Amino acid sequence: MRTKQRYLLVETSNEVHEIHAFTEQLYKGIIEISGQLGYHKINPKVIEFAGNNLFIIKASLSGVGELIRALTFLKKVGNSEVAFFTLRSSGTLRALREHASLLGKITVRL
Amino acid sequence: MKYYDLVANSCEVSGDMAKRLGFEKIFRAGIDIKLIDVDIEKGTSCDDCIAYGANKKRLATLASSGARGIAIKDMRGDGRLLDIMSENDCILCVPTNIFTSSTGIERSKLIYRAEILLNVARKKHIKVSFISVAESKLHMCSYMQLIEIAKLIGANEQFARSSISTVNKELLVK
Repeated sequence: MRTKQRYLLVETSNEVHEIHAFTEQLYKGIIEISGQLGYHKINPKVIEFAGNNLFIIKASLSGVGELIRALTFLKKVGNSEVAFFTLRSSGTLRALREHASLLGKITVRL
Repeated sequence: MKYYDLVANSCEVSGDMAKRLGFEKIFRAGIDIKLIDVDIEKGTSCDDCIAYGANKKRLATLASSGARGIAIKDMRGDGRLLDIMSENDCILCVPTNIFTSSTGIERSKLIYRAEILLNVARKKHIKVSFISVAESKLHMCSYMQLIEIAKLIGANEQFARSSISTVNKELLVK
């Protein structure tokens, strides 16, 4: 059975250059804030990056609120301080890609 | 719905950034509205300002002398202060920067106290406002994040949205 997903368009305060290392550190940060059980409920996955400071992350429908809270409280990824701003949420990727392109960013799939 | 937020004087926000974060306008303390830290400043009158601090006696004095909003720094409720706020139609401000700038057990305790404070305020029919009061870009939030913080401390979706739009407008727009 397919579970319902929700996609979030997230902006970072700093530019991200090493995408894979950043993504791994981001998952670790979410585990630190939400705990292992919360992480299981969120089931996050970074889908694609748009430019150097925007990315789309997927979460399960029931865990999307938890993910927004975790991103609000997460202020450090790896060794650098960074803030996350959730700009928009949608049930489809297309809507977020369109919004990202309105902001002048072209998405790059991971 | 139009959402509004307040940041500290030290945090510069462009109109474009405010729109991107989902706010109609982000106000700056000290420029758009006066923010008095009662633990430092000693004045007793405060027309159309927001009083901020942990000293309940000083907060109660300012609430009765015309403060628009009261923000309790340590999130510890005080029955007398909340009664005065209720009588004077004073708004209870919840500054979310205290949650984002603290960590670990300290943050958990603040969330727990805020939950109790919000419950009591709602029982006393005090309006509640959620503002970021971010001192830097690092502690700023989008409107979605403010709503989620409000929900974390016990507000429902409708209450959270109206706190950030209607109540924040009443608090910040003259």
